[in-house]
Amino acid sequence: MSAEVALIGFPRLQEQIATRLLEEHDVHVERVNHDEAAARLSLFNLALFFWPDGGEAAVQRLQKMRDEQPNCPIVIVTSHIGQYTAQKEVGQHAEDILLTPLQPHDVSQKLAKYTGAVKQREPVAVDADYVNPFVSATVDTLKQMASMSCERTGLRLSSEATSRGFYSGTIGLSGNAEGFVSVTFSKELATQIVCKMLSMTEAEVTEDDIRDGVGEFMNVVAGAAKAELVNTKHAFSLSIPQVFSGGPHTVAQPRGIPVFIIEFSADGEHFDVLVCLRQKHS
Amino acid sequence: MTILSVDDSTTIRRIVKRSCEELGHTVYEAADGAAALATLAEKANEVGLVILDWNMPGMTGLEVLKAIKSDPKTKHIVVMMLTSEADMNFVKEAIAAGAQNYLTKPFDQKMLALKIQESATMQTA
Repeated sequence: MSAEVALIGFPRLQEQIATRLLEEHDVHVERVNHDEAAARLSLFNLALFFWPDGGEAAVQRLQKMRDEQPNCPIVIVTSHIGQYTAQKEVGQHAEDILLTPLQPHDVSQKLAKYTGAVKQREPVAVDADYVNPFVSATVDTLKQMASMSCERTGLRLSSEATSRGFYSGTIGLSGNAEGFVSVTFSKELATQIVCKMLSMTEAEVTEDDIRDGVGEFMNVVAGAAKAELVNTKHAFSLSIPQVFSGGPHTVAQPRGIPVFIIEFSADGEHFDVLVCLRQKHS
Repeated sequence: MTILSVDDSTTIRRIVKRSCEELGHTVYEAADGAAALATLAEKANEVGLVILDWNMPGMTGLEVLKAIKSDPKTKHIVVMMLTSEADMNFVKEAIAAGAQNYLTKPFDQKMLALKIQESATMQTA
């Protein structure tokens, strides 16, 4: 069953942003006016209360909601400046603070904490916890940047990092862990994805457009996976992406470290994401 | 409003340009930090918003942001980071350095448009 989330007192634009982020999860969002908030709060699993600049009126509204509906968690949404006044309300009339500009990760975290409603990541049965973030990042990136869906069709280990596609984007990784991640597409699929990213036709896109698009795709996937792995033993930094074209080629890899080849299918075309990551010894 | 899009990826600059123009804004483009600062040196009074990548060859987006915010001629300009650096520590660092908004990649067109609108209405202190 969907969690019900109330947006209270949000300006139009902030409401649209919050709604879009919340609706990525199993959540029903409803705009609620200040006047009706206290009476209706019992219908919701979570209330997000927009705190524009603090002030006595905001404090009174918050107090009234808490007095009349003590069981609905209230999270104050405010700016980095507003948080100093809002902080006084946490523990008294509200449970928590969410800072603007709203970030997907923060919103997910609060949803999970107060409602348990977060989208489930695709389960992947492998004994390498750093592979899953690359799977979900690939699916999300293709969906958001190119409005295309894809599914993981396979996973295998290889001793050699050979990209089978025509276009490959590769990013070096360094930090607690080092190695590389690479995506490799057929000419047809790379063209299709870049056309969708740029809202252009095949006749309009150039070779340079496709090469840049493949590099940026890899960059976004690596960035999203990086955020998932921060504060883990697999944390890494990104280098600038490099793009190769023209057919199968092999990426130099750290000696003795196998490569996970994650196989995907999008619109009937196959593509691979190669992940080679080694934890550095301190 | 006039917007400066700074990203080493032509793909991202094109996506940003199209979104901005659909919203009625004028767009300049820069492929790196040095080009961005050169554009701002000429057009500081014209540009109201900079949409800035983080990882670029040469100066990083954070270095460009700090240069913008430390120059009296450009510190009034609103800066929105548009980056694949989704780690909250990066968000905090950018906000502390003066960025007013932050959008992480991947993004969809609708969210980009909303964030541009939001940034365009922001006033710097």
